Amino acid sequence: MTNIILEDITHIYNLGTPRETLAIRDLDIEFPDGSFVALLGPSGCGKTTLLRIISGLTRQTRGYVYFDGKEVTPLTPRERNVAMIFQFPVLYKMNVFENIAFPLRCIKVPDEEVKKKVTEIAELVGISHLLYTDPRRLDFATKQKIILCRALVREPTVFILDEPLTNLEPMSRFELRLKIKELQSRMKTNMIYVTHDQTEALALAHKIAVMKEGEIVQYDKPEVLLDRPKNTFVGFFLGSPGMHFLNCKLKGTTIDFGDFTCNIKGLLSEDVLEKFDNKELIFGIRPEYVLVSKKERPGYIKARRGNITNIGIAFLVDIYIGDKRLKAKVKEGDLPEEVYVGFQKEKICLFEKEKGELIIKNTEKE
Amino acid sequence: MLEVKDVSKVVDNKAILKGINMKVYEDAITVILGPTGSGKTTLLRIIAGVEEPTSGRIFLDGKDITDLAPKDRNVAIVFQEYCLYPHLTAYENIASPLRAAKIGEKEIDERVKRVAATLGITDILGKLPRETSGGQRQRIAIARALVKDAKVCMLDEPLTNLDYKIRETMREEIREIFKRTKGKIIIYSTPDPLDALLLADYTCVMRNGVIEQMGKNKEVYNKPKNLFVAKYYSYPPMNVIIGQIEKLNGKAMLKTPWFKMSIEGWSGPLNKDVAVGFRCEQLEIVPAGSKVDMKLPSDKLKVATVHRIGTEHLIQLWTADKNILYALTPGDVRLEVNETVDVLFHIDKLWLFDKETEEFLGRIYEGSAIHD
Repeated sequence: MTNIILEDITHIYNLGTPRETLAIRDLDIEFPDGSFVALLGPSGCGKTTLLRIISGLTRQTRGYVYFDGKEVTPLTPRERNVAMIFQFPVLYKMNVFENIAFPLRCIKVPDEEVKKKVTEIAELVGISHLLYTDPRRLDFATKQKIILCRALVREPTVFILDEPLTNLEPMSRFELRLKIKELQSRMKTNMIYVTHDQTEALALAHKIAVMKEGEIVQYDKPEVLLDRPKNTFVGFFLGSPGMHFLNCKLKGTTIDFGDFTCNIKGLLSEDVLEKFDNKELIFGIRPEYVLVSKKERPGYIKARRGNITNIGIAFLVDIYIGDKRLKAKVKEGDLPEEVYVGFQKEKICLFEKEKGELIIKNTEKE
Repeated sequence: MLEVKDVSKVVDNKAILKGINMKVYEDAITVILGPTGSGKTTLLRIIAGVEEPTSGRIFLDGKDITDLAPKDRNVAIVFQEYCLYPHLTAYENIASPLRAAKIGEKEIDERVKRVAATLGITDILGKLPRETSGGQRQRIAIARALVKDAKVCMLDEPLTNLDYKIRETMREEIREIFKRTKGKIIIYSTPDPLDALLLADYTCVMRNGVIEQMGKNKEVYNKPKNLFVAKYYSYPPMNVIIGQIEKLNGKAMLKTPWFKMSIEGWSGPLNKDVAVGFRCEQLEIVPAGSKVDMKLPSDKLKVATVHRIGTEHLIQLWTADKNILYALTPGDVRLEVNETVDVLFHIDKLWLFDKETEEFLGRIYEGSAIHD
């Protein structure tokens, strides 16, 4: 277990050539002891570069990497004792047992201990029955489990996972995801998980760093990212579907959408209300917090219901209020054409128009 | 209508497709859902004419097209890897099937521009594929398929190689695009149940070269024909416990380790071991000591993992006999791994399958049996 700190990291590819590209810009982040952190962002946001810098595969252009307070930039991945798992499993031509034992053999661990450790980890991951088989004939998900064992058996300081589930089909992906989650909560190994899939990040991580264009936009617990996204990008990127946005104007404690209004008394502090009074704002709400009722209720707005789609655990409903379109995620799919719509007030987010930044501070304490 | 009749495919003595029969209709999206290796791609390639069936015939609007070359079939296909010409601009990629068909320059220009506008890629027509993003490349590939104005348009796992968020947006776009096209037969293959839920008018579930079930999307989802379809076309996975159907005082009785209930109108087999399926939202975690009916004994259920799905938590629970069950809770409920929990079981909807053959026996809806 190790505390990892990155300080003032900048990375530029092809430095000094015409193809110079800035991948990471002045980035600071801390990965506390025993934490499970996801680096989340679209392709090209710099998440893989960041991970390579932590592991020691890439040397950053500028900045410092500390493991437990010690600067490790000159150290190789092996010296940092970093374990990695990638999209494609690489296995050696030996049986499953020896594949898992390999890193221990490299550092000359006595046979007895190797046997004990390999058996233990294989049991935990659930592949004990396969230890003496040829791994090449196994399916993709099982191969990835073997890699998981091999990475964990050496008790690494940090375990880095680079989209390890991307090439799996949905059901195996789901199962392996649960397995990784279970292993991390048992072993308390530091895990850093890179993904473009927000469902994976939300499902696994204690904290998520949302990245965009080489910077960390927001680094927080999943529930904070969902409820109080720092800007509209984070609001849309997390959640499926993401947050929905409508243009509006703040008038006192009322939000004016043109066709209808919504009272937000108590949501904003006095000074914020004053600062943004009569200003154009962006109203953000997650589909989960758009409340749909068959009957008229106080504070609800009359609306027209569009398409209803069953998404397994809920229904997605298109809602039209005048010419404005929203999505609601509801448990009951049986809705008439005419419905009444309300918003769960404390979940409403308001963003300023220019940069799309949140104007409500997160009031929840750690 | 496209009709596939008794199509089989054998490669190196291995049966990839085993007697496929299906009818695919116009003005609807048909999703072929199944795990890797179930034969989805092979089936699409045979319909497109890129591969030959070992036996069986393909009919389009009553005409046998089995022996026609791909270009004469009135069929377009979008591959998982897009397969764009890297040295041609988006415009030329889209125009390529029209050039092959020797269509006049003026018409080509019109058609390319029209389809590009539909897909919102007008401003990238001059770019090479490598200068565009994954989502844009996918749209160029779809445009190339649509520009032919073929009767049948097939998409083979079109979203697999895209980032999650783009996948979500594209999925919605694909639905919008095909809603606007008229008179087309759309076939979409995927391993992802969510694609089927969001896109399909008709769903066809495949496994090991066989169609397990095909029908209207809602029907396949709500009335799975066997345990495989029930489990595969379900997200998160369907919960399954083992029970028995017995006859007691002239009435059918369902017994499981957790509850007994009498079933009205049961006409299925009696004295049988059954797999009882139910969805995760039917297990509700309640505060310890709650006074409710149908509470599962808490000493037997332990939290294995807590897994966030959007604003909710999916909880994986260990039963005493080391089975896994799934339950859904609101995101603000805090649960620790290894904690024992009280669970309220909503038994209003149950699916019953033969334990041996895994065939569907009946649904129980609020205590009454439905056998269709």
